[in-house]
Amino acid sequence: MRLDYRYAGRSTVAETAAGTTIGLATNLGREATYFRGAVGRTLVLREGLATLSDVVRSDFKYRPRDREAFRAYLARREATFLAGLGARSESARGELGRLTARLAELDRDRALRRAPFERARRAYVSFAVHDAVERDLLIDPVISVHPDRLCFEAFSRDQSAYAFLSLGYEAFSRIEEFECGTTNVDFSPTMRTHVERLRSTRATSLVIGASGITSVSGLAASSAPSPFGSASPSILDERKIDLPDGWFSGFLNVHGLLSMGLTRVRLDPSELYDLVRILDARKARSSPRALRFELVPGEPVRIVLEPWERVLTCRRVYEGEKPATIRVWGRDRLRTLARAIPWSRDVEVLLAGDGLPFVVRLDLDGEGSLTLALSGWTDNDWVSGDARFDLLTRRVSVDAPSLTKVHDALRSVRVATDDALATELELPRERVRSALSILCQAGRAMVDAGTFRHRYRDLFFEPFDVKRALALATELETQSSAAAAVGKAIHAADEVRIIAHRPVASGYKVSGNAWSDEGVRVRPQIHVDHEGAIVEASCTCAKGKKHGLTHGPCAHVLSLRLAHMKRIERTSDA
Amino acid sequence: MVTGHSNVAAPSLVEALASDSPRVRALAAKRVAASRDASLVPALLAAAARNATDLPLLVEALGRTRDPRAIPLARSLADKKLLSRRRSGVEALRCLGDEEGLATARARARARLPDSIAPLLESDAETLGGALHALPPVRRGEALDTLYELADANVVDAVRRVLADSPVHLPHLLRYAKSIWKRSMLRDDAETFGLLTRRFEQAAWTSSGERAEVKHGLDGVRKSMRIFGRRTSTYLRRASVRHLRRVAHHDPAKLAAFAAHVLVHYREADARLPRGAFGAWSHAYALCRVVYGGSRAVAFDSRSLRMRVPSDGAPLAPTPGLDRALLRADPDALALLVQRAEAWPVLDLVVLLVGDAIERLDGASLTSLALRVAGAHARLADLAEIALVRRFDGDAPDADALVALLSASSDRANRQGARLLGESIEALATRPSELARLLALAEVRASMASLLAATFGDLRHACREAMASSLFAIAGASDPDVATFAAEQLASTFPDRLASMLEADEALAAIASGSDARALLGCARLASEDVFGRLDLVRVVALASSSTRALRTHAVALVMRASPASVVVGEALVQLAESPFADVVRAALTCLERMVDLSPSLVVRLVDSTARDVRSVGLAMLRARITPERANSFIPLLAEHPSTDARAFAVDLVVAHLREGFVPLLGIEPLVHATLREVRPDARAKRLLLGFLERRSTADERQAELIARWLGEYARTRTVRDAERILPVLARIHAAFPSLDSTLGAAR
Repeated sequence: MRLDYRYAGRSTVAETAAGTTIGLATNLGREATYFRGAVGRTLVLREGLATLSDVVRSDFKYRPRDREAFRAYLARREATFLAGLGARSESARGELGRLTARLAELDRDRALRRAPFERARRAYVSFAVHDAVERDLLIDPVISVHPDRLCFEAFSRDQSAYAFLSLGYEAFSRIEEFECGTTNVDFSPTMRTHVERLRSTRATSLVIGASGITSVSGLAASSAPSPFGSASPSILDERKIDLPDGWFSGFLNVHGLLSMGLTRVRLDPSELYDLVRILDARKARSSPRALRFELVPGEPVRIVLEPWERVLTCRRVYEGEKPATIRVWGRDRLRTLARAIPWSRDVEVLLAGDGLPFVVRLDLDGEGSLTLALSGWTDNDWVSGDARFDLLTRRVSVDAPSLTKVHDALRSVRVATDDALATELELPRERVRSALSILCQAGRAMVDAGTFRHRYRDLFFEPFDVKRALALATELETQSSAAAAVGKAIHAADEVRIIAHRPVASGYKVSGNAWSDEGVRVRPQIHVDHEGAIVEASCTCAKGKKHGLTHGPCAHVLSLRLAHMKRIERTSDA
Repeated sequence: MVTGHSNVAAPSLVEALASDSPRVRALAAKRVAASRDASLVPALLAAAARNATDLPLLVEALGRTRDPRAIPLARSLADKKLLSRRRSGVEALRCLGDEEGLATARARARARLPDSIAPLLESDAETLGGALHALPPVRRGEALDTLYELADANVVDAVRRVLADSPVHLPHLLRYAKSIWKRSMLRDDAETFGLLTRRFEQAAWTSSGERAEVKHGLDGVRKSMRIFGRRTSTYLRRASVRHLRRVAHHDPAKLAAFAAHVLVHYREADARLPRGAFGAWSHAYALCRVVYGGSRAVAFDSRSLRMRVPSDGAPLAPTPGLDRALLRADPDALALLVQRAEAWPVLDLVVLLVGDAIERLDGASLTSLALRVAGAHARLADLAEIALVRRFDGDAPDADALVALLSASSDRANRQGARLLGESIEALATRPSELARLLALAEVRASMASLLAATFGDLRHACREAMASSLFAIAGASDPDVATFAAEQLASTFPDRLASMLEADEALAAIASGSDARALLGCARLASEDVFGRLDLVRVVALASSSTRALRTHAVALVMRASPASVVVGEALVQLAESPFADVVRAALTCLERMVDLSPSLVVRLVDSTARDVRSVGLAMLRARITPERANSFIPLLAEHPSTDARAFAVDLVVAHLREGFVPLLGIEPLVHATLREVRPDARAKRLLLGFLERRSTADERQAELIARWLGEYARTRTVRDAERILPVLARIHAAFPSLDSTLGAAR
């Protein structure tokens, strides 16, 4: 998919006698969205944006070294050796040795002579690659203006980390005007250097508008178009970025994860600091490299860093109801939070299970929050990885009128809980939840990682089409992964049975049986909390035993979920 | 060798023309056509009267004799509908110089043209070629032949263009391509003949023809037949070579041109991988016949027309199958080969033909010789270089040849180009237009820059003056690269002449002009003038960020030259220190370091920089100027700095100068958080800060409470050294102020 960025101005920071103005240029291809206000907590904004930028530029994927030159060297040596074997006479061998030595000498001289050129070339290639990455690959953050806060969302360069910066309006001393909506902002590397200059000692304004800084101060070229409401501003910067396949489904996956019942652990900022400091100071040379959370109800949380078995005992106790040990991977990605840690007041870690994604949420001095959702491990990223958590989100069937009603209602209020929408629309709660899930899937809504409420957030340029949204949901449910298709087929063939519905302290567990590919009966099980969210899932099939949920739910779990949803649907209809 | 013709065979030809055998008559007619013997006209006319089927050949022969007695017969044939007869008649009329008959034929030809072509006869070859391409293939061939019959220069050029990229071997086209090929032989049109010879060859390499239903030429009946089958292609290829031989025998002066036009069309891409007895060019029959036809080492396969080469793999030396003396007799033909030939054997042949007589290359243009110097054929490059050096005149330099040499990707050509440019420098100095044309090339600019730098001192005064004037004129050119280069050279090589060329006011205007070249001249000119008060410094600072290095250098120099005491200059330099160009940053920092009274706000701007080197200069300046009174004003500014080094400096200031009391202490909260929670901390700064907090914690209860709150958040840190320092402080606070709700308990 190709995303068009068209900006009428450049994002920049302008410093005048009156203060500093941060101008973020918005994508002209999107709906008109703007914001203008005086920043109250400048440092929170600075550190939040700097951390967001660090996440966006981070790439922790493993890339093996290019050993082509070394292999060529070995091949040359081999050839020389074989040539030496072939030379029979003493004099020929001597001559070969002399020539080889001379060749090496010439090679050395040549390398010496070409050293400045090679240095310059390396510098140029490095610049070109860096520039190309900045220009062509980094996807500008998505910004949403809501009635109560500003939200910035972005994926890291390796697509394995999702960052969500949410700034409440309490972080602004004065808000002059805003128009709710979603757009991209031009957040170039130069902009990052400008942001670093922000100080609380200087009055700072934030302007989000069509032409960035030119919108208010007129500091840029006088011919620059007017920002708010200019009919046809001239385009100063236009980029077309090929989005990775499934970039939108990356958002959906994150929101699918946030919709699941997650294990919550609270930490002190200094504990996260210790964790990041240790990770920054030491590199684990051998496996396992997991971060192990040892959770015992009523006991302090213990975080163990493998393979050194170094234990961080936290001050806060675990408030869950049953003990658990959860290992998560890809911990190095936490280092991108370094800038935000000094400004955080509270830290919350949300764990989905062994080898599954986890979320770290930092409360930025009460004025905002920064959420970092990390995929199960770095190579199993949000976008192209095979872990599809959206498949576990609840889904009873939703008809087009209901979906339209939920869409319109959410669009008008911009932020709401499912209960509030269900009451307002007089629709069954499960149906509203499913509708919201479909809207998330269609890129029209999001789950606020801070408050877990649903927000209207339009990722697409085109107007909402209810038929397309429903078709997309159906398509994703069956075609997004092989397991989803098989799960649907099992359910359609009525080869899955719910055999137990057992209440437990945290909700209830649904057990079933289904036929596996090998022709044997397997026992899928899902654990649903009081809110109806699936907290855990397991299966006795080969995939379930080997991978758990790390590669996404298996077909049997998905078929059991469908059977369970059908039952809920019948109940709610009744 | 016998060349030309004699009429000793006339009696036997008369006899042959009267023969009953059509083959004998045809051969005799061709022989007469080649020999142009007018004494045989009666015999030809008699034969024409007897044999209607031989008419085309006989009329062609009559035309070649240029005897007016043939005109009536030629006119009658030119009026025929059948292509072969009409062609013979019209071409005979052309040879006979019968303007009246030709005018009638031309009128008929125009009437035959398609509607889309007829109005374009006066237009240029490109337009006409486009219209011909747009015709359907079925009609294109006939239109091409009719146009070629008209024989106007632009029309023939258009026909050649279309033939060059048309599949001439396809049905509906081959018949007319063949007709044009025959006309070209009758007309001695070597260019069209060469083009079609190679096109037929090329088609024969890849195609064995295709079957199509076409109307037969003689009876007009539609039949399915193979078009461009093996027999046709072989006939065409062999007939082409035969024609060359015939020209060599009967019209030797034209041989070189015919051969050259055949050979120049072979491209390097036509070569194939050698296989067994067949070399890279064995399949190119005409080429091999001309270049290797005289060699005993090769043999031609009469069926496949391929040339067998010796199997020892030794390179094959060119041994022309045609008379060497005739081939080298025409300097224009040799020049054509030098200019356009690509195939390696042809280049070998050129070397052979030139031999030791370099003057044989006098017909070649200097540009084509320059291109050959840069070519891959080493021996031809040697010859071309000798010929070029021999003929190049430094007093009247050939700009195109210089451009070709200097823009080539060959070191040898570049070296020679630079040398010849050096020879021409004095002449070029007086010719600004030619100089500007040369400078339009980046390679020439590079050579010119080094040349001017190296030879400037050796130039005569008048030449230097002329060069300065020319460069000044070129600096106003529309091409910004050329203009900037000229300005750059003028500023660097003739700085003393600038003052006389540009008044100070003009220089100030030039800086504001928007042209890099003029701005560069303005900056360079004002370097020796005290006009700081009138200078638009904002504009100069903007110029200092130009992507043109020379302009940057001169703009920075101008800023640096301005009074160092000026606040405005200080601001400009601070702005330049943030430039993306390292040279500008270096210059600005050097200048800033020398400034003793930079205002504190500007120093803070330097410290605020995200570039480490700029920040270092700012911090050093701040360190040198700090006083206890000023320190407290800087602390809040530095306390929020995102960089570790700036924060470490802020800690130093705090420890040494922070005023007593709760309010000043509260102001360093960001610094405390950032320093204590720095992932890669400055250990010294951390230690100093903790020591400072420990001291201040005993000052009063409010400060103690504040410090206890800060440190309480870090008390549980796993950084052992920090914890060991923090816990005693908290304990002391608890002991000193028991009433405080110390976070020590929570930490425990």
